[in-house]
Amino acid sequence: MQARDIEWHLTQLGQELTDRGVQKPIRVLMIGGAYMLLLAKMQRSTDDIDILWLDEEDAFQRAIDELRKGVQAVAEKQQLEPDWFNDMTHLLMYDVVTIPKGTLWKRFGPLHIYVPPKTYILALKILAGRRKDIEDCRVLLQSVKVKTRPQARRLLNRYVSTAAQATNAEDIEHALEELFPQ
Amino acid sequence: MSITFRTLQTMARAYRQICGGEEPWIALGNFRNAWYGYARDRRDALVSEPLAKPAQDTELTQRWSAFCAATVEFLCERYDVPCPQWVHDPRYTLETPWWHSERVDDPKIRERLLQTTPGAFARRKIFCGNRLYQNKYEMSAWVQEARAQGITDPGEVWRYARLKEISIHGG
Repeated sequence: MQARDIEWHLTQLGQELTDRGVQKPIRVLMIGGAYMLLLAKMQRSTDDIDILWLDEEDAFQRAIDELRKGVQAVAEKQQLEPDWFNDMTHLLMYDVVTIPKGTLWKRFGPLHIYVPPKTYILALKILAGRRKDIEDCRVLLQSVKVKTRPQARRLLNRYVSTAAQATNAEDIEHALEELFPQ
Repeated sequence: MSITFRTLQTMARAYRQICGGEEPWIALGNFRNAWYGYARDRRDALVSEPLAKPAQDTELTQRWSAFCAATVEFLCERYDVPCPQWVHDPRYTLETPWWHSERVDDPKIRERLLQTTPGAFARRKIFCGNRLYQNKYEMSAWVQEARAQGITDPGEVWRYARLKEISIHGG
């Protein structure tokens, strides 16, 4: 998906939710590759749109069935993979990272897309630490005030639980070595 | 989920896309999504077709062909999928090492890449470390597995999933 495709597919999803009678806002935080394309203006494409839920647990439970049906309907119509709109990261991360409120980016019918600050994405990508995450970090670092390893550590402390940092300590250290030579 | 609404993202297709100018991590990311997600019950079909030699073979296409072959060998070994013979073609071994770091002059980083790169890549002179195919599909399944076992502390859940990840991916 290119940047323009993402907005088009989200428009379709918003319409699908409207057609299904969804009225209450579904608020999600866009992260991952879609964020890099649309907010960090990175010139590449992404394989899916990663999101974190912003709604409380009960509101999330009420919305998830309709949302997943809507996602599948758009996948069928637009020839997309079934998980093009992907909440798996939320299941994985919700209790080990802080989820910021974010700022409203765009509304697509009842689907409200929020975005976090770039520093949040930077923290998640340092934690993930794969080759392509390091490349994304380099792009993000051009437009944030984080310039040193201690500043990056403070960022991790702000957003990532101590337990997750401890479990990933070696990988985090390697990512920081790549990004902030000493 | 075993359904798909689009063409299967095989490794041969991913490599064709790379040769056609697609960002390699996107082509390979789509392959990874097929491997771990919608086509995980058809893994042999994802890797059986040999890579087609591009019309213009460049250093970039040679490097990525070696990377694709190494990926197939690495994943087939880890997930007990019969490894296709085409990956062993000597043309998928690079003549000069390919270091996946912008700081290749740093001996510490070189040493780490030498120590952590899986054999399938290192044998082809690709030194890329071991954080290549970690993915949210497996991780979220392991997180749920931990919770199903009654682990409630978030740090312990995460640790359980990471240990599973390390046991498969090495890092």
